[in-house]
Order: sequence, then C-alpha cells, then structure tokens
Amino acid sequence: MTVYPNPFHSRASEHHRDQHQFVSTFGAGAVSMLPETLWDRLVILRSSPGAGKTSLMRLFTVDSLLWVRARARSYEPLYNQLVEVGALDDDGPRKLGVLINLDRDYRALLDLPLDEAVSRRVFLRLLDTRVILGVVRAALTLAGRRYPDDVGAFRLGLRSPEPALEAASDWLGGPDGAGILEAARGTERRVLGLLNALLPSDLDRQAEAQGEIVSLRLLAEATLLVDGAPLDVQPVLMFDDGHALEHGQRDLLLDQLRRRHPTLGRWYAERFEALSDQELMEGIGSTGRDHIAVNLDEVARGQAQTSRVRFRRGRHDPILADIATRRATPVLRTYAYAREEHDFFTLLEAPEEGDYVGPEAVERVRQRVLSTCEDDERYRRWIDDAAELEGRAAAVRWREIEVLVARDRRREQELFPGELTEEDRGSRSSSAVREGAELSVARDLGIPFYAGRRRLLALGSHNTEQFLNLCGALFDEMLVAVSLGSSPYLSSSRQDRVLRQASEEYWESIPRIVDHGRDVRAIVHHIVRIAVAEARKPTMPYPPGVTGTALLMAERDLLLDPEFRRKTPGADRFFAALAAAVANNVLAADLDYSVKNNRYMVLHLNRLLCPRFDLPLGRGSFRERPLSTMLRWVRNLPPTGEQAEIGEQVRML
Amino acid sequence: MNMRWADHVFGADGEAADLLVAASRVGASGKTMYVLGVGFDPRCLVGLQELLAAQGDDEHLVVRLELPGPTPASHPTARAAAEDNARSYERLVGTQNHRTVPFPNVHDLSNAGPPLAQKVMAPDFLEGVSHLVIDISSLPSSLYFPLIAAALRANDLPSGHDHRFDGEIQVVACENPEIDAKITELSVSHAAYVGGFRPASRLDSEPAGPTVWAPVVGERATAALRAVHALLEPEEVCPILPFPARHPRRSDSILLEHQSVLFDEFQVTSSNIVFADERNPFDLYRTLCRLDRDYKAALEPLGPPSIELSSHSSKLLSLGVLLAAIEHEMPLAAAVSGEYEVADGANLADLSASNRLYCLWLAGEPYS
Repeated sequence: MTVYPNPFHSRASEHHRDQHQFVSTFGAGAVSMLPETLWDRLVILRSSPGAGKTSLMRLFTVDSLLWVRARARSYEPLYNQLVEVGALDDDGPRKLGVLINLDRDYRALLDLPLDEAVSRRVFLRLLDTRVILGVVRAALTLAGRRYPDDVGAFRLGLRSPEPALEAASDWLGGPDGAGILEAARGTERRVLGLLNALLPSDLDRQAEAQGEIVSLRLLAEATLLVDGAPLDVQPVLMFDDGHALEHGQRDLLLDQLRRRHPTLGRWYAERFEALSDQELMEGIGSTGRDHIAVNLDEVARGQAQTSRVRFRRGRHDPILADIATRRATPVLRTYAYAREEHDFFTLLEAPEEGDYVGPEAVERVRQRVLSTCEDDERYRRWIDDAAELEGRAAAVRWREIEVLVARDRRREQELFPGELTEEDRGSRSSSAVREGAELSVARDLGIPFYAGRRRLLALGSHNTEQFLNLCGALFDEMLVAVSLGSSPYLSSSRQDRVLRQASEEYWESIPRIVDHGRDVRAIVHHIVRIAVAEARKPTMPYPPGVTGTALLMAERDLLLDPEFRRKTPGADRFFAALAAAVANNVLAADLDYSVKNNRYMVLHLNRLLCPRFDLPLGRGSFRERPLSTMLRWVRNLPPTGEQAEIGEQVRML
Repeated sequence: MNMRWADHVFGADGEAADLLVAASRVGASGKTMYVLGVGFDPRCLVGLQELLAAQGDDEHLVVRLELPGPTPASHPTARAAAEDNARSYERLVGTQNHRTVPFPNVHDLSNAGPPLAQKVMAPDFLEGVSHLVIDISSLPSSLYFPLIAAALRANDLPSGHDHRFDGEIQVVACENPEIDAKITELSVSHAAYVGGFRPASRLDSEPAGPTVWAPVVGERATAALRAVHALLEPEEVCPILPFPARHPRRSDSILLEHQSVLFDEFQVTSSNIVFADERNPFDLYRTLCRLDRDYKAALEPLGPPSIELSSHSSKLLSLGVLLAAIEHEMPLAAAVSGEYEVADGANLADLSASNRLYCLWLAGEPYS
C-alpha cells in the first residue's frame, strides 16, 4: 500500500523558502482584506492565531513579488490584485517588502541582568541591525544578486548631506553593504553572547545604541543602490509577531513606527495576545491619522469597524474554499484515478444528499408530531404536505411543523382561526428554524449533520488555520480510500464522524494550549449549558439555537475597571480567562450589539466547539447573563467532571 | 570521535546513593551543596532523603530553587500536592543549613534559567562547597539545563579564574513513568531557545544552512512538538524514541500517538527515526554526538548546518540531550508550560513504589 502525504497537514513542513508552494496555495482574495491605504502610514494588523497575518505579509516580500511577476499568467488573479494595490506593475515589484520577525531574542533581552535603559538600547540596536540587513538582503534579491556573497554590491545613497543621516549611516556600519554586514555581525554576536551568558563572568554589560531605530529615518531618506544603480522601489518594513515583544518594547516600536515617514512603508502584525487584557477587552480596531489598525478576524466575519477595508461580509468563505482547492486539487489529480472528480468540495457529500433516514424513522417523528395536532384541522395542510415528503426532508419537515405548532398555540387566539396554508408556514418559518429542526432530527435519529462544503466552511470559524486543519482531517479519510483503490468521495456520515472527532480534540486541547485553559473551558461549559437549556424549549425561541452569551456593555465597563476587579472576588480571574478565550479565538466577541434598548458585548463560541455539544452552526443567537453569574462560572469551578455533566445534558435533549 | 563522557559514572537506586556519598567524601574540607526544586511532584524530595539518610551527620547546604507559585486557576490536586511537599521539605531540612533562591523576576519563564544559574554559581554562593548535587526531579528543563551547563562551564574554566568551580558535580533524577503518565503540561503555546543554548547559526549576519531537529519524543508531547517545530522551521526532523525501554512497546505507543504530527505534519521519514536506551542518558548522548558529526559532514555543502535539540520525554533522557548539547554547542529549544494538570483521581504519592533514583557524576574525581 502506498503512503500518500496529506497536503493540508504537510504545510507545517513547507519551508519558508518554498515560494512555489506558498504562492500557489495563497488565496488571492485575501489581499482585499488589507486596508486601502497601505504605503504611507503605519498599518497594524491584528488577529487571533491562524488568521493569516504572516501569509499576507509574506506575499509582499521581494521573493514572492518576483515569483508572481515572473509567472503572471499562471497566477493571474493574484497578479492583478497585487497590481491593483500598487505592489507590482509590468516592470516588476514596486515595493521592497522586508519581513522582520519579532519573535527572535528581543523579549529575552529584558530578562538579562542589565538596567532598563541599557536593555532598551540593546533592543533598538538589534532591531536596527535586523532592519538594515533585511533591506540589504531584499535589495540584492531584487537586483538578482546573492546575499551575503554579493553584499559589496549594495550601497545606501543619501539624498541630502544631512549630518544626522550621515551619523545614522555611520552608526549602522557606513553606506556600503560590506560595512553594514560587518557592523551587524558584531552587534548580533555581542547580543548572543549576552543571551547565552551562564556565569556572571560571561556578561558584558556595556551597550552602545541610539535612542531610536535610526534605520527608519535613514531608509526614508536614502536611495538604495546595487552596483551603483538606484532601485526604483519603496522599502516596506513588515514587522511580524509583535505579540512576542514585551509590552514596553512593543510600545516603543509602535511609537517609532507611527512617526511620519511617508516614503517608507511600515506594517506591523500581532496576535490579540499582544494587547493587555485591558486593551483587548476595551476593543480594538482604532484608526488614527498616523496609523490604520485592522482586526482581521472582524474583517473575515464581515464586521470590520473601519470603512477603509474593502472587504465585505461573505467574501471570506470563498477565499478559504479557494485555498483548500488549491491545496487539494493537484494532489487529488496525482493520487486518484484519472476519471475521478478532483475538486475537493465536490467529493464531500452534503447531508441532504445522503439516504440515511428510513421510513420507520420518519414514521416515528411523524407519530410524535401527529400525537399533538392530528385532530386539529388548523394544521391539516401542513400535515398533508409533509406526508408527501420522504427520508431526511420528511423528518426535518415534521420537526419544523412540531416547532411551528408549538409556537402557534402560544400566540394570542385569532378572531377567526382558520386553516393555515403553506404560505403561512413559509412566513412563520425561516432557514434558521429549518436548520434547528435538521439538527434536532439528526440528534434524535443519529444521522449526519456536520458535513458538506457549507458546514465545513462554517466550522472554520473564519480562521484559516482551523479550516485547513479540518480539511486535513477529511483529506486523511480520502487518502484511506485512495490507498485502497476506492473513490475518495466522502459520505456525509464519515465527514460527520471526522468533524466531531476534530471538535472533541479541539475541546480537549484548550487547557493544553490556551492560557487559563481550565477557566476558559469553564466559560465554554456554561455557555453550552445555556444552549442546552434553550434547545429543550419546544418553540425553539432562538433558532437555530443558542451558541453564545452576552454581557451588558455597562457591566463590561465594570469588568474593565481594575478597582472593581480588585474588590470583587473572582473578577480578575474571569477577566483573564475571558481575555485568553478571545485572544485565542475560543470565543468571538462583538462589542456594542444592540438589543431591546440595551447594548451588549456578545460572546459566540468558536464554531468548532459546536459538534462536540451538538450545537447549530448559525451565529447570531445568544442569551445574556449578568456579570455576577459569569463570575461564578470560574469561581465555582469544580476540579473535575465538567465534561460528563455536559455530555449528560446533551444526551437528555 | 572524542567524547567527554565516553567513560562515565552513572548509578541507579542503591548505587546512586553510594555515588552521592562517594563524591561527598572526595573534597576533604568542603561540604555538599544539594540544589533542588520543591513543586507538586512527589519525587522532588526522594534524592535529598537518600542523601540525608546516608550522611545525616555531615554538613550539607540545601538550596531550594523557588518555582513559580500556583495560580488560582491551577489544578487543585497539583496545588494541594505542592503544599504537602513544601511542608515535608521544611521538616526534612529542619536542622540542616538551607537557603532559598527566589525565582527570578523574568518576563518569560524560559529565561529564568541563566539568572538562577548565575546566582547559584557565583563564587560567594559556592564558598566552602566541594560537592555540587543538582536534583532535577522537580525542576523544569528551562531551569536545570542552564544550571547544569553553568556548573560544567565553571568546572572547565582555567585554574585561578574567579568563577572556576573545582569540585564534584553530580546530577540526580528520580524517575517514575507511572507518575509521568498522570501529569499533563498545560498552556503550551510557544517555544523558545533555552538560555545558554541559543544558536549563532540563526543570526541574520551569518550565512544560513539547513536545520536538523532531533526531538526526544515522549507521551502527550504534541503541543510542545508543534511549538518547537514552529520555532525551528527545520529542513529535517529526526525523532528520538526510547528503546530499549522498560515497557518494550513504549516507542511503538509513542509513535502511534504522534503519527499524525510526525509523519503528516513534519514529513518525517521512517529512516530518520533514532532509538536510544530509555534508562541510560549516556547512550542518547553518544547517539546525538554521532548524529551531529554525520549530519554536519553530509550537509556542509548546503551551508553550515545546525543540529538542534529538544526533549519532551523523561528527565533521564533529557540529560543525554543536555550533555550532547554542551559538548557540541548544539542549540536547545523547549516549550515552556505554565501549568500542570494531574489526572483525575490520581494520587501521585501512592505511585512512589515505582520510583527509581539515578545519579550521574559529570565532573570531578572520576575524570581527573
């Protein structure tokens, strides 16, 4: 039996130097998640882990731009998008994108036995070194030269003989590439020596540095020359993984990046965890004159708070689908027989396509409904119409009627009650009611629900990483079939089983990978309890079901008050857990949601948790709880048993 | 291939206690300094109890390295066990000379090792000490890796150097796979290089070559493996599995548990899997020394290769990793856990029958 690699799982081992793999699997539409103004001010990208910040930045590095430009015909949609935003034109890259990873040594500098001022200077010096080296490397790449072999071909040409600029240049090793490299090597080795010091005698406490990142000013005012020829491109510094910095370092860097350098592009990306719990819960997405902040999670959900983003609701799912297709199709084409379908999503059976509900099962649901309304002529048309249906459609319709009858009986009596028509059913029902009915039937009859393209995309919860992991789990099943010489087509029952397993693993992983994980699970656990209680109600008051909770904005303000948290038992702990849940995308928070003259912070479960608890995937339904109740969720956390309790409740539905 | 510990001194159980006593007798005038951590793990005091039982009358200095305290969200079982162990420690060292080294005020737990090592290995702290024992049974690797490396570095300094430590250096570990199986690391979300083991090869100003990563894989290591992999971005992965092992199928179980992450995500090929004796850290040390030599010879044409290590298994095997890293200046990475969870219903103290005490004599009389 041949072993076939899974293109979704193998992305961890795709090396950052593999441009072909990166560009060919990039979803072109993602470029439009960026704001309209990109090049003359600081652009801050924030999101939970796995939303695609690094990929977005990497697309604008010189290597990627050169790759796309050289294969414009193969990557036409992506090429057009890059031309549209001004990163490319017919002559080649217009931007010199330099990716600078902040998750390298910087934070560790603060833990050296150096005084704060020295530590800050070392931080700036190291950052300066990496910025200028990154520019040298990118410039040589753009000119078709090699780094570091051809470093002597690089030179910084100062546009004006300003003493400050000359001093900055000298500080970084002079205008020549060789001098810059030598100075950088000295700086990096000294810093490494400090970080590796294990004995007091190893420590060199001296550090020379400027009080700013001088390379920013220098790059804004200098011309980049390779072999004496100027490069007609705008340098764009893209700082990634800002969350890896300590708060003081981060603030220092952001302060410097905000300074006006319109000729120098400056991007900065970080996870929400970079924000203090306070900042995170206060809300993000602010935009000022000197910067644009973009919350990529909100953009993906179509809820961007800044009008400067072109992205609109509903556009993220096609991007995710595009990425999955790009990964899967070439592999399926290689693995499967030539006559097989190669489109990943076409190989996923939708739940309604499968034949899982026999006449006996339909009859059981029908009898249950008829026992409540068979003799009531008011519902005669509904009952007759449902009797025409078969299989899954019939079972779902009977359940829908059950809900509508329960609702109708709670309504005020009409003056002249008459038989209800199909139009009445249409107006009283909705797609949400039908989804709730379908989930309820799936739960009762043990038939698949979490399957098919639409629900797979929903389970991704607008997070690229999460979505691709799910695709990988399904692709594993396809590979089993391919290995056995069968069709990779996946029945909805197999998909349902795989996706429930993925949900279970996600739930189990929360304490292992999320800070305050036990408390985060306690919050999720209580939201699920609310959902379970609502799902028991015969009228399905919040179709398709509740998957979230909400806190009054006024109470959220209380929670943000450190004094309140200090005085209130459990408040600090709940606050930290809530921030961790939002930062890690376990919960999605929407601020200022207006309902019945009140404003709420709504907290929705990551949809990947829904299969674990048999919850619907539609977002929008929530039940609010007072802060005092929420505080008890973590304060009264039992040492064990939470899963068993929830599992029991779901079984009792 | 010359290896510092080609010949070595290593003992288990009764032999381990004998080695402790023997080393303490080497320096006629000096005393034994026993360094340990006291956390929730019931193995934390086993080594000290052995030493005191064997040599109760001798003068010892017991140094407790303070560990980060539990948080309100910590698992109740772990909290209660930590409190019990702290009380037992107080009773045990009641009449002994003892000190506590506070946990350094660091921004990142992974950086706590070097400042602790600098403090413990300072000449005034070691005054009168001729025998240094580092008990790693309840210490995280981010602390004991730098500490042991600092002790050996101090031992290697030339005579007359202010910071030279010219005494016996031993490392003690109490192993118990049954207890290991009941403990899960929580909040493992990122990895970092261990202080003292950061690589020069990662500098932007140095030419880049391929990275080979050799993680020692144990149970429930998926999150940590992913975190370290994301940090290193290696071209090649050589997982190290425990074999021979007390349970002969342990390596199979570990492989089954991690098959998705190893084979699907990291694209490991079966020919890259390396085996090392679970109960002998020097076997792993030798294996890693050979791995370093062979890969460097093979990959040199692609640029200077970097063979980087991490340990996600028992304390004993992690020592093999450490010794190889020290000798060949191999970078060491670790995924730092902020919290631990004890399996529901487990009483760790009840599992102590399977405890095995190991002692590695790393520097001093046997090597002079």
